[in-house]
Amino acid sequence: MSGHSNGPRCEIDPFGRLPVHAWLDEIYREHRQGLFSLALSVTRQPMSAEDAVHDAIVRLAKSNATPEGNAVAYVFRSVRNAAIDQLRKRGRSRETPLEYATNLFASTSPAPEAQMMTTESNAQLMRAVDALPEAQRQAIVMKIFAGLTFQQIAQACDEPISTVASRYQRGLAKLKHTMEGQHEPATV
Amino acid sequence: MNRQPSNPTPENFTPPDEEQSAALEAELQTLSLRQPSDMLDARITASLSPATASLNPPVVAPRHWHLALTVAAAVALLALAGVSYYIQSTGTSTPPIVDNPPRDNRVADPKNPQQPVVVQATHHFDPKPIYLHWSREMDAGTLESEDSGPAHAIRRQDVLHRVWVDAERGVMIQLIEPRERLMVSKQNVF
Repeated sequence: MSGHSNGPRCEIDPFGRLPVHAWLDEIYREHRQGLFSLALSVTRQPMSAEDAVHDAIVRLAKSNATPEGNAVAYVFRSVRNAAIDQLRKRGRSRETPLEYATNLFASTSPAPEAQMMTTESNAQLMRAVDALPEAQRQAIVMKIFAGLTFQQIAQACDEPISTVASRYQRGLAKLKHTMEGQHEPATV
Repeated sequence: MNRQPSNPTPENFTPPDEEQSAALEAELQTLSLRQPSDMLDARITASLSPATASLNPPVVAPRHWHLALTVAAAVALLALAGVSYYIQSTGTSTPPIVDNPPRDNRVADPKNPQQPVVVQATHHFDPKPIYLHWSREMDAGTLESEDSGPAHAIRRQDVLHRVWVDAERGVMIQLIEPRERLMVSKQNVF
């Protein structure tokens, strides 16, 4: 756990051992939304996403192992793997058709206040994010919504930093392209 | 091995400049994300909390453990003294062994139902098996029945305590058997 600039602030007991549940709980409280959004971006279903987050946390607690590298990235990788396991349990392909999927955002909330607060531009952006390829979508979720660094994302995905950064940039470019295409005036 | 990407980059792809990326990132951060339910928090808390006690048993003794241990020992001693006093005052200890004890058969007085009465005590001295038996009867009230009319109920509790002693071999075997029965006697209404 040494040498982590973004690691949790853990209380060390008098015998020098780190309480695993303390740092797990702290990471969950701090990155609750990001962990759930990452799982949801994979599973496309809220219940499966919650199960994935729960299963990952429980698995880490039971293993009682010291995380390799950054602790936050370690937990995100566990959640990502658990979400993929959820997909395998359901027996579907990793890419769920959009018409059956639950998007990442709250604009679909039946509450009229949520719908009124969502502008048309935001709604288009939400649909564009949900339509991204899975790898690019995960990179954007972890970078924008979970607040991870590229190094943490690379560790979470077990891939080189350059690959992760490239996916992120491509995702942004695709979003920009989609939004510009939506804003183009119709030619008469 | 060269793999074709599932979503090829558009021909007119141009990477956004830093300013455009910053603007798009800022807009993305304003989006309202779908929130996890409160059930997830409860599940996580429940999973981590009991695991602290079972998977990771506390290895660090609490502060002032010696003081807590002393207080617990004092409480246990007081409890033991209280139980001992209670046993002696209620006469539930083993009756003294006597030679040729008289047999006393008494029935609990229905007019005084709350007072338990020792009905019978029998002792036999070694070398024959020592047989200790004491029982009590308590008034259990009146039972009403439409078919048979009122009946008087008496609850009888027995503690059969048998002791076998072989003095030559230095062996003692004890058997304690509690029993409880409800005896009902029909009362004449008229």
